[in-house]
Amino acid sequence: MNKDKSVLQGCLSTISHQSNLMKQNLNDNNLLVALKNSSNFLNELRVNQLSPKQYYELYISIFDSLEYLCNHLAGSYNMKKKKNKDTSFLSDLYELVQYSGNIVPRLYMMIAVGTTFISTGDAPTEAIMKDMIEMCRGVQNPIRGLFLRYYLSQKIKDLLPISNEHEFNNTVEFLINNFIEMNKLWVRLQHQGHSSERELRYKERKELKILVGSNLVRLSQIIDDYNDDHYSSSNFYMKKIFPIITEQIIQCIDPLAQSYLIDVIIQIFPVNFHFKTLNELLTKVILNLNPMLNKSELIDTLIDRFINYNDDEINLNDFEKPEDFEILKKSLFDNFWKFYLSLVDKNLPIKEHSNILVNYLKLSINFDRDNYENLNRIYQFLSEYNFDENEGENVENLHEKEEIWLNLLIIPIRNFESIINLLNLPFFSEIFNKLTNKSYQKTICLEILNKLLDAEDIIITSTDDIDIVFKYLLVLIKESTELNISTKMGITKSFKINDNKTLTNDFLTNQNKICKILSKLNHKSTDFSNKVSDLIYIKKKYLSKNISSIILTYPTLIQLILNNLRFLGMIRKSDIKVVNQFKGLSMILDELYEYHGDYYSDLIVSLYLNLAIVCDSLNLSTLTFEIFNKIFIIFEEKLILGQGSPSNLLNINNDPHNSLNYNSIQYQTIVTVVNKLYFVRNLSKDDYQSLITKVTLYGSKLLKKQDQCRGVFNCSHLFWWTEPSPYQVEDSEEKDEEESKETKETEETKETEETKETEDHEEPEEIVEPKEKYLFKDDKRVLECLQKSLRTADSCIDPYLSNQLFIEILNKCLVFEIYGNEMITANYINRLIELIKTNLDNLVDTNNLKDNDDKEFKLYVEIKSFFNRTLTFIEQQKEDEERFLDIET
Amino acid sequence: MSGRKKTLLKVIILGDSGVGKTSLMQQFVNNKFSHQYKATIGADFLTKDITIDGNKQVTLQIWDTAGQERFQSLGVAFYRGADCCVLCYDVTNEKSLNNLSSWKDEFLVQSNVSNPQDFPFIIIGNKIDVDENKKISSLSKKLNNITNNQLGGLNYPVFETSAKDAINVESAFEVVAKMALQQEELNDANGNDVSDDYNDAINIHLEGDSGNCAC
Repeated sequence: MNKDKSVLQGCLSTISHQSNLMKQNLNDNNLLVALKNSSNFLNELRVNQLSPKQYYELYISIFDSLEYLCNHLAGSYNMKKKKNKDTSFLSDLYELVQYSGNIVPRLYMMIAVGTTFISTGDAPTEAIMKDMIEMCRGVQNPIRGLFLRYYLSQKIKDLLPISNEHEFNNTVEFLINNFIEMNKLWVRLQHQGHSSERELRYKERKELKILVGSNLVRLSQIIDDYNDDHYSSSNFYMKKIFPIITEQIIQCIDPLAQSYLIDVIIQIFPVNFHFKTLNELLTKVILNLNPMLNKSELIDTLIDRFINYNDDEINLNDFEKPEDFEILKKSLFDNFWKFYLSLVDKNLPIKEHSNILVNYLKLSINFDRDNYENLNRIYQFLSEYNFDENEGENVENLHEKEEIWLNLLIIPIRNFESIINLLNLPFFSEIFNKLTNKSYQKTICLEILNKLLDAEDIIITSTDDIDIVFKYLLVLIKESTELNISTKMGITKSFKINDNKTLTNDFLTNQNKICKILSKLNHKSTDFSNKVSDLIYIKKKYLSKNISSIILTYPTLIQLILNNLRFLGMIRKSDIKVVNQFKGLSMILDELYEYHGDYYSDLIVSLYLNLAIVCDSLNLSTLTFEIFNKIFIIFEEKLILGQGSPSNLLNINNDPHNSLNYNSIQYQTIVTVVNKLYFVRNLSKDDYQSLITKVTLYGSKLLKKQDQCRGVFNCSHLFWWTEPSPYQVEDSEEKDEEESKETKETEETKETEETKETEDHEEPEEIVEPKEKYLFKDDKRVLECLQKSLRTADSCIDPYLSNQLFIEILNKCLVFEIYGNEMITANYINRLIELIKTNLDNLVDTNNLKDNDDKEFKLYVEIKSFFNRTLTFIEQQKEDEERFLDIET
Repeated sequence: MSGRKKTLLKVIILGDSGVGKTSLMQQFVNNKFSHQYKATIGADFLTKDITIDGNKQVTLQIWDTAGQERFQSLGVAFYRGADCCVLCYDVTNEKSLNNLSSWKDEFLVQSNVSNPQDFPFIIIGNKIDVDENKKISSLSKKLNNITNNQLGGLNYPVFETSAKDAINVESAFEVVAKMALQQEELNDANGNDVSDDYNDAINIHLEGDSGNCAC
């Protein structure tokens, strides 16, 4: 390499030296000496040791020097012509330089002088051109020959005569001739030297390729530039240029030449030419290229050209478009497809199949976005074609094949508008089903899922659509819960359900996404009945297929059905169909309970409660009553017996003194039930009383004293209604169609609270007009509850807890006092305050509480301040609450 | 010698594939524009004679280059002796803007110019005829970042052109020609024509009187 470099430097300095001499001699008017100088530096081009790149450096340097010579000659010619002197020296010179000793310098000189002569406009152009191109045959050394001919083409490119048809034809012939000869030299280079140098030759030829391609660039330029009445450049290309040059390319058999030159043809001729010659290019040219050649690269380039053209189409004026553009566009895919079918007979490597088909997908997506037939053709072919025919079926082949399938299935999912149409292609699903690698199937399903989530419009509008989509989503629903190694080792995240089952984080995410799809299902439709039946259909056919999925998807499903049923109920009242659908929903809940009741009973209870509240708001009192009974059964079965796991309370530090810190799942459930039951308004009095009595009983039987006490005093509210139910549905004329979120509903109903009519409880049938709100009140029961709580609190062994509970009960009493319960008198409250005071004093005395750091002392301070706050509250209330006046703090 | 010789100025146009280098050159030299995209293979030049400052006749030799590397297989020997370099980007293609400095670096490495610090470059943003919404967002800010960056900033004249509608092309190349002429005169004055480098490293096999040429 270093040796080559010094050779190059040597050559370059000779050229520079001789070139300087030449310039000097030209300036001194020593033309002949100057020509000798040029001949000297041109001799350097006979060097053998240089690589094409290095030779190109010599060429550039010489080119510059010869330009100087040419400019000088042209300058003196013009000068002489101006002065009307004899200008024959150029033609003489053209003859003279041919006596130069060596052929390479001679021909460069000839071209330099010849083209300068032509540039004067006074030369026999045709003859000189013919002469030059003929003489070039004399150099058969490939590298020298190629550069020489490149020089010819570079020098003559602006001088090519095209002023009439004859000249134009000659020019085209000249360029084609030069192209053919250069291609021959280029191909021949491969076979020179020892066979061990084949790689080196190949490398050299790769460097030289642009010289050969330059001829095609000139051709492309010249057929654009030529202008004539009956001339159409694309027709000329199709009839004259294309057949000749492609013939050459096919005949040379050389893979490098073929792949490069076809690439150049694709790149430098305009796309509308390619539209016209597409069929020939594919079936007559590319199909007949060297079998070793990878055709997919050429197809890639060609299709890219078409796609870019289509993207820019609006920019093209009609001149630049082929006349029958629309028709050509339509037949584009057909042409490519025909080509592919003939190609596959030729034992194509599997990678080639894939590359070509990916490009076909791109083409189809770009040109004919709504045409799914082309896609189906591709998939049909994939499913029917036996790729392994010649390679034998083995694991590796199968793997490779499926990887290709995967790619071909994913591209359109990402790019096509309507995923439903795509998924509905019969052969799309066939290929999908043929995939033996389940992780590929999963990848595709995830793509589908994400595409559905990204879509802004409603995609799934009919039961058919549901089947089309969920057939794929089912893969994610049914996904095996078996864990792979990395999950087992805790490398990837996992979570547990039902104690024994571990699921991956991915599975959780996917089910979450499926839930989102459920809520997007036709979400703008007001046909609630249809939406409900769609949801139930999905549940039956798909969601119920995997127990692990049930726990993750059913809660959303149930809530969605419930929302729709609520609207439906508001429209249709207690239509028997609606009642049946509620029953159906209750059964879905039962199913969830069946599978997951053991571990998620608290979740199930809250879902049942939502259902009950909606039923009540629609005045379906029988159903409401039954659902509450069901809730009690769950409570007894799973919670009292202690099996229901506190799904989200595991880490709470149980502090009995803190009433907000729920002590047990059972207690929490009671409070939740009470909260909902408190707003149930449409049950018959008997039913209601039976329910609240039961719940109070459960409260009183909780395990711990503090739970019992708090349970019961919370239940006391059930006997003393103070406000209308926020869940109550008004018999409004307007049905809101948009709101499906429960929170919004609540707000809405709150707004209309004032005007709402509530039904008389004991005679629910007789509703005539809006009348005074009836509120269920049983002061005796309230007192009983409070008494029961007091007794429980008193029986606590822990004196601090006992007093804490007393103060909590005191606060309850105040509430009932405010809301006018006659049984809770000022006297009653005073006695309670007195009791607490005494107890607290006793606490200090007996336990000798002084030390600030003492835990008990702190506890005492907390309770004391709670008590004080309560007393302060009473004092403040006295200002506007008459009833408080009698309370002594 | 009769008549003053015209000064030949060599100009190289560089930039990513598809920014419109060929179109700019065609518009300037031949006043032609075509929507049909044709890739450039290798490198080739067009010449145009123009007059600078009303009296200086120069010949611009404008080298259009292939933006795609695979069409530049013979290397870039033609960079040598350049008097000015035009760096092109496409106002709709941010990547082409960001690549300007690597084109500049490549040019300086390969061209072996004697004054890389103050070699004349100019920047041309082509395709300003397109819809505003297709253009690079906050282009002027990004361009400013590139031209005023302290580290290897491209602090050169910037022209926004449309080869399609012939906007600003003429005036851009006028500046190119002036800058190139300045560079050429600088080279002449210093006598440090690239070719002289080789004279220093002269080989023994040459005739001994090589020094004579300097007169």
